[in-house]
Amino acid sequence: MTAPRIRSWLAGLRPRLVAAFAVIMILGATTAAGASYVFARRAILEGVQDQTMLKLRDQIAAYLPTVSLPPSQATLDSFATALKSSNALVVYRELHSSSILSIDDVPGDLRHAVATTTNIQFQRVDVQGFPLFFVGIPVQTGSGRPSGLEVYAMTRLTDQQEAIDELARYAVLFSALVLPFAVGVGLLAARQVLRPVRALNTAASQLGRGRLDVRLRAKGSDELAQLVTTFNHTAAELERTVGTLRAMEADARRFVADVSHELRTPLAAMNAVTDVLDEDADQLPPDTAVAARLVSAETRRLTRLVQDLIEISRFDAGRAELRREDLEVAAAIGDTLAARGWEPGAELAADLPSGITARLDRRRLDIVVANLVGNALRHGAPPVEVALRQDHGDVVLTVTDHGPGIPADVLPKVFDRFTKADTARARSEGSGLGLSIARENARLHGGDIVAANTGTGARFELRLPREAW
Amino acid sequence: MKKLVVLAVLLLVSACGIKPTPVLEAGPAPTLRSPASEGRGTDLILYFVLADRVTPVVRPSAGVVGIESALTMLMDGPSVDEREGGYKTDLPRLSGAITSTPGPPTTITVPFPLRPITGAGVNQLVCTAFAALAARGGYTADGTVALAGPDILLPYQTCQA
Repeated sequence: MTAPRIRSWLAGLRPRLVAAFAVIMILGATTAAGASYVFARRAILEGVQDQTMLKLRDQIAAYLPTVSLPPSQATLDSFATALKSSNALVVYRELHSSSILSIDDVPGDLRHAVATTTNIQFQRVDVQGFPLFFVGIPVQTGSGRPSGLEVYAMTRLTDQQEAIDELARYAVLFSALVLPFAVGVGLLAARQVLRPVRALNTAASQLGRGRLDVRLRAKGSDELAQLVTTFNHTAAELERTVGTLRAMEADARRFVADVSHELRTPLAAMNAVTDVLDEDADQLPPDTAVAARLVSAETRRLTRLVQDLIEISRFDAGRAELRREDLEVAAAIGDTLAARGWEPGAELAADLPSGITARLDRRRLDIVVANLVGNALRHGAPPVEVALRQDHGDVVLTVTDHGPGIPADVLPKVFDRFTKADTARARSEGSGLGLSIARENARLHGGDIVAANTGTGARFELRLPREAW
Repeated sequence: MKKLVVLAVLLLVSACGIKPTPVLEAGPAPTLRSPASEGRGTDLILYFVLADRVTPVVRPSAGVVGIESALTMLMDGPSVDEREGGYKTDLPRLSGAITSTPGPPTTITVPFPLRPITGAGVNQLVCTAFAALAARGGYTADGTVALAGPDILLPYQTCQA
């Protein structure tokens, strides 16, 4: 995985969910473990401390009646012996019992506190890493004053420390053990959330590609299910709207096709009449002759328009048929130019190398070439260059003129129907469908036409595959 | 946020191990009931067994009681009230003269065999003797007494509270 992919994966919902789960569970586990650790530690320490203090106090209380002040060294020693199980040191002013616990080991703070109060005092100290618990019990007189008799005892908390350290180790261990569990739960939750999201994404992209009948199954009643329901409603509404629009468009196209067909028959009759009128125009009075020629010209224009409309409605209806045959492309183009009366010369320069063959529909190629060259001659300025070449598996024909070029605002829609570059002339000779039909024909072959400005004119490039595939 | 982080770090740091403490107070100190230095004690202290431990019992008394009479009263066992309080004795109910000879060593002679007597029973005798001695402001020279029975002599006894 590369760095950007890792980054995008990390930005996803899954790692965020997993991380959130891990953090929450670790926090929870750590808090619980920490709290129980603190309480357990306190319980352990208080247990041993309280036990030590109570035992010593009771022992002292039991022994005290046998003591009289001031005590002798022997009395102190017997006192200490009586408290042997507590490992105690008995002090009376300068005297102290000869015990295992030395008077110098007792912390000064504790000695001071014991000497000045009539309360039991204790202190936990740390001597070279070993925790020690000291308890100091002064003996008070019946009148509530310090009697001068003090008992000290010391307990090592090494065992407790080990137990507490073990507690900490287990707390850390169990907190760590929670981690894989948290990750697992996070992954599971992420899957639960992400599966419908992924399904929605797939469905939405299918909808975007035009599959309007895509629907999802809504499971449960959570927010995601609501989203799925909304998506389904949206898709259904979209499908209905698009269906209505398509039906309307189809109706409109069928109407155009029907009208065109209906116009063909009367136009044929009119053409016959205008042909006769054209022939006889010379014998007509001049005004009538002009009128007759105008009618004749407009009828021809109308006929061409109707023919183009019929052609384009065939494309719309998907009824355009392609009749491929093996063609010598240069010869076919030459025939087209010759048939229109376009001879190479000052106006037209043709570069048609022979030997390029392709399987194409002769009639459609003729329509396309005639359209492109006719347009160039009509709208551009001479010389118009027609060049044929072979590009890998394609046949490429470029038609370049030296006119003003195509206006930038027209260029993107130059192949649209009834687009006219020259808006100043509302009525041109063309039907406005020529380029549209040319492109439909090129696409029917599996090719295309693109238009561009060269800077000194317009260039149309027709690209057709040599073989059908 | 910063405070929270500091708090968390402090918690983590303070969370481990056993920390030293300052000097802390825990309850009142035991009281020396009959300090000889403040006049002679007038209470009689007897030791009975309470919950397997030798525990002193205070009985009011008119005057100073000697070791022998204290031990005689000990042999009589706990009173009715004391028995109800859970006090027991590990000593046999035997009458007879208990004598003490001041030392050294201070020797207490009992008229019953000492062998069957438990440690707690021996402690009852020794502690009561010490308490009676202390009530008069006295103590034995080396902090021990010897117990002498018809069967055995137990030297160097101390009160094991």
